[in-house]
Amino acid sequence: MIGTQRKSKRRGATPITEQQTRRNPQASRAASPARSKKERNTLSTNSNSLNQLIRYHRLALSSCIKRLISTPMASFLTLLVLAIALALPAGMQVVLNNAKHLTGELGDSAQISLFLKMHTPEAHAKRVAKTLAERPDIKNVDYISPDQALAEFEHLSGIRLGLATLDENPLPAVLVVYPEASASSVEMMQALLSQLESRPEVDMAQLDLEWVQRLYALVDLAGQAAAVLSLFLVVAVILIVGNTIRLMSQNHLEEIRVSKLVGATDAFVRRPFLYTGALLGLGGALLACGFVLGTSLWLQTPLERLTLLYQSDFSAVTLSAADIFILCFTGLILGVIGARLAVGKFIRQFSL
Amino acid sequence: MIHFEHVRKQYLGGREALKGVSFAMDQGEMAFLTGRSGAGKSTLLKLVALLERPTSGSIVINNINLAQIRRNAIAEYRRRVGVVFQSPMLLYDRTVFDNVALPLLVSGFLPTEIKRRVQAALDQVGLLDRQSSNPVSLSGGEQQRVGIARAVVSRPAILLADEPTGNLDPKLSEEIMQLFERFNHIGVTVLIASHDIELIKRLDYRTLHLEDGAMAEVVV
Ligand SMILES: Nc1ncnc2c1ncn2[C@@H]1O[C@H](COP(=O)(O)OP(=O)(O)OP(=O)(O)O)[C@@H](O)[C@H]1O
Ligand SMILES: [Mg+2]
Repeated sequence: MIGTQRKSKRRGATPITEQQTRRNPQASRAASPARSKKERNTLSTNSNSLNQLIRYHRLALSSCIKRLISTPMASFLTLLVLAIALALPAGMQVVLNNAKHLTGELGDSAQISLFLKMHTPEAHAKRVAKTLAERPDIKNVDYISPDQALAEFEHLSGIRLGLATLDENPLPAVLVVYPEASASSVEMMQALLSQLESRPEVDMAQLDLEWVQRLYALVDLAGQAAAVLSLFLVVAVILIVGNTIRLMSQNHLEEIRVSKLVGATDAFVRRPFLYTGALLGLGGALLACGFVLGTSLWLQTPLERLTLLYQSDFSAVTLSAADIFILCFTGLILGVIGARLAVGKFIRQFSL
Repeated sequence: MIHFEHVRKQYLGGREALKGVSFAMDQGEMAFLTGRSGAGKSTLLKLVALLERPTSGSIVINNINLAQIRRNAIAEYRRRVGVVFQSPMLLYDRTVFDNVALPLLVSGFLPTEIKRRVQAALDQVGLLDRQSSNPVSLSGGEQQRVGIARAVVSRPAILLADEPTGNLDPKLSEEIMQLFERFNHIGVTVLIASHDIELIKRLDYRTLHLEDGAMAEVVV
């Protein structure tokens, strides 16, 4: 049964390669006898190491799943906590995306009113409107004649002035400029405003941007707060996984000790824990996706009804496939990092 | 095969367990290691298996100076030395089969090869019919034999046994010793720490005697 001695006499001081050859008898048998011994060894080692690595990983995965299943309640609670920690930044991202989307639409509705000098001939005003509309940063321009302006004023105010009571219409003609969506940032609008104001036929230009500006600033601030909070939650996920792995490793002290006594490498001992971290992270991320998708589905109808009041054809956005992939990948990586940190420190106590 | 020169071992914050031990064993030799409790027998075996590092002195095993084996190569070295531990060191969350399979699992053997070898090793120690039992349900002597099966399953060139017959009745001790002799006959270098003076006398092998951390060879 134990027949390695004759071999070992021949082998001299290369025990490791020899052992690998022994581990895969088929490979060494298959090698032609004409090949040099060294060549044979490298050959069998190469074909060996990949299969062996796969075997090691399969073993680690199965023992990781066994460990998770052996404490179902603890595993589930960890998963739930991770899901909540991951759902928070993901949910905030969705809210922010919607807010940006919404302010973009409202920004679209921003407009500049150009009050023309009195007695500007209508033909000239219409020519100016046409030239302006050709600018790349302007979507279109509406011409409102003094008569239309007066009618609108009377309609809105309920005061009937009537042309009869006035010598002449006191209102100027107005050009309403709608900027292109791509030019609707606050800075660009302001630049456009001052350009339009300097035109000779323009008496006064007006842009009511204050509320859009405030909204932009608010969304910006919320974005920064979300980024900081996300950072905290990333650290939280690492700590949660790390703590779970640490508790778990306490239940496997004996297994680790004995494995190391019979020749397990650090990597061998570490692997099941890394898989555990990865699975917890991935599972938590998937559960978090479920939370976020469920919540946004639930909120979609009331949200759309609300935005309808603002005459916007806004439709709510939720997690895209790419978002889900990124979230899962992040969860997995954070899980592995947490496990690696926890187990790295722990394994050192078993080393010489 | 085993070469100790002025080996000292002082445990962290502890006593000096070995005080300059020198001895040598040839390849394929079998010997007993005796000495009172606390004389340093387990310590010596642990140094050979690279489960501990010496404080000073040189240990050369199979032409390899153990001081030159770096941290990440220790595991590979340990796989080549079979150790029967003083306490059986079994895992009670798995079957006898899985306990014996552990050294092969950590070395990445094929499952079919593992099955073949584990069953052969269990057959050698007479426990093949208990392979799917939990070690808890085994007697002390049976557990010790599981430990022996685990030590030989990877076919090491060196076999170290720390009180392997401590829990066994005389008849079983005799059988286990015969088992070690059989390994020795096919070329395995065997070193056995034992208190069992009767058995040692009967078997007539070289005896290394430790006296308070120092080596005194006795030829029986
Ligand atoms: N891990 C350790 N840390 C500190 N001291 C130790 C350690 N292991 C052993 N010792 C000490 O080293 C000395 C030798 O111990 P060792 O276990 O080698 O003796 P032994 O000959 O095997 O005894 P026994 O026959 O009782 O098993 C003892 O004094 C012991 O207290
Ligand atoms: Mg001892």
